[in-house]
Amino acid sequence: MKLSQGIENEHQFIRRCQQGDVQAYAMLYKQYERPLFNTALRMSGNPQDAEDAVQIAFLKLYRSIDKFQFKSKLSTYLYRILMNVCFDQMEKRKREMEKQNIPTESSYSEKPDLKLHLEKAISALPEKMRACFVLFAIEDLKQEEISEILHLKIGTVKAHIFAAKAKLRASFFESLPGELS
Amino acid sequence: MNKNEFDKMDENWKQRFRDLQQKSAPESEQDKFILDLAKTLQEPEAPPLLWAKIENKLRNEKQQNQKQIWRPSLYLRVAAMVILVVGAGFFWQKYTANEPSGKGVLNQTALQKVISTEKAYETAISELEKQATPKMQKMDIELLFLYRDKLATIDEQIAECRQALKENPGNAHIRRYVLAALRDKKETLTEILQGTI
Repeated sequence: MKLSQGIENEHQFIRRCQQGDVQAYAMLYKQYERPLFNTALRMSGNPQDAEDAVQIAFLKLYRSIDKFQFKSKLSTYLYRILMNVCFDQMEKRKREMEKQNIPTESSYSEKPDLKLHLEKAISALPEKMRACFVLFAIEDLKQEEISEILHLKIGTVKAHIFAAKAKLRASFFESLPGELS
Repeated sequence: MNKNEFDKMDENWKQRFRDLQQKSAPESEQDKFILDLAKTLQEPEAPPLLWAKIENKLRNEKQQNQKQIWRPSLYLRVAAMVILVVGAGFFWQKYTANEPSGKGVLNQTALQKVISTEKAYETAISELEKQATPKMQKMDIELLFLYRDKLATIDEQIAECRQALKENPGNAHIRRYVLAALRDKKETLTEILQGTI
């Protein structure tokens, strides 16, 4: 499901959200649960953190929906909140790890080699680069939308995606041979 | 997808990877391989209980917000009560000081008449309350609290007067005060029904 295809009569729907109609949030969740959880998981690399991020994002949406000015799509707004939550969460996690001197490591389940390798390679990308790549390559969002979500210039988004592809290419086609027989 | 299908799909990816590897494919083909593989990472489903947790949090948040809306109304209610009590005291003192004793007491006939008027108001109010309750449930929350506060304040006034009337049932001023409060309540309920505010 593409996020850009959305709820009919979005304005009316947002008004319901602004009136605190929990049922409207349920519809919104139903529409976006998988891509939001998927994105959070790719960003955090940890299902528990991803679950927390989606919860916090919805709560933040509820608290801030009154300030929504109808300048962007609701999905863009929701994504922006989620990405900010993910960045905060990663920063917090990094600080905790540094304090406890634990090496950062994602907790993906065992999968076939190539997918596992890609997941690990994505999780090793720098945060903003990873965000751009995940939204572009996995969630299929347009670069303009990514620029709006992440508050980055379109040129920066393109550069991040280009650099991410180069890093992943190197990770696959320079370091992987021999491991895959 | 069963294990065989899964293994087969995985083998296809590996084969494609090996082909690209062997022919030293250009970067664009390598990128396409990575982007295609990335699409397959769309698989995770959201945990089944996630919405229940979110819904719980949203409902708690909603409840807290409602309490916050209630707080200023409570202050207003207290302020209104203070004004009413002081006003009633002032009103009481003024009349009892200026009137000769006995003049503020209703005779039996007048008392019966006042009681029957009060009863008529009470019957009308009871009927209006029945009609207004469902309408109030659909009201905007702030307006609902406003009306609830107003009605509660009037009820408190009436209760206080009734208490005073137990000791002095013929007191004309208190009776007048009760009638005014009943009239006020009736008008408020009518307003709710007509949606004039």
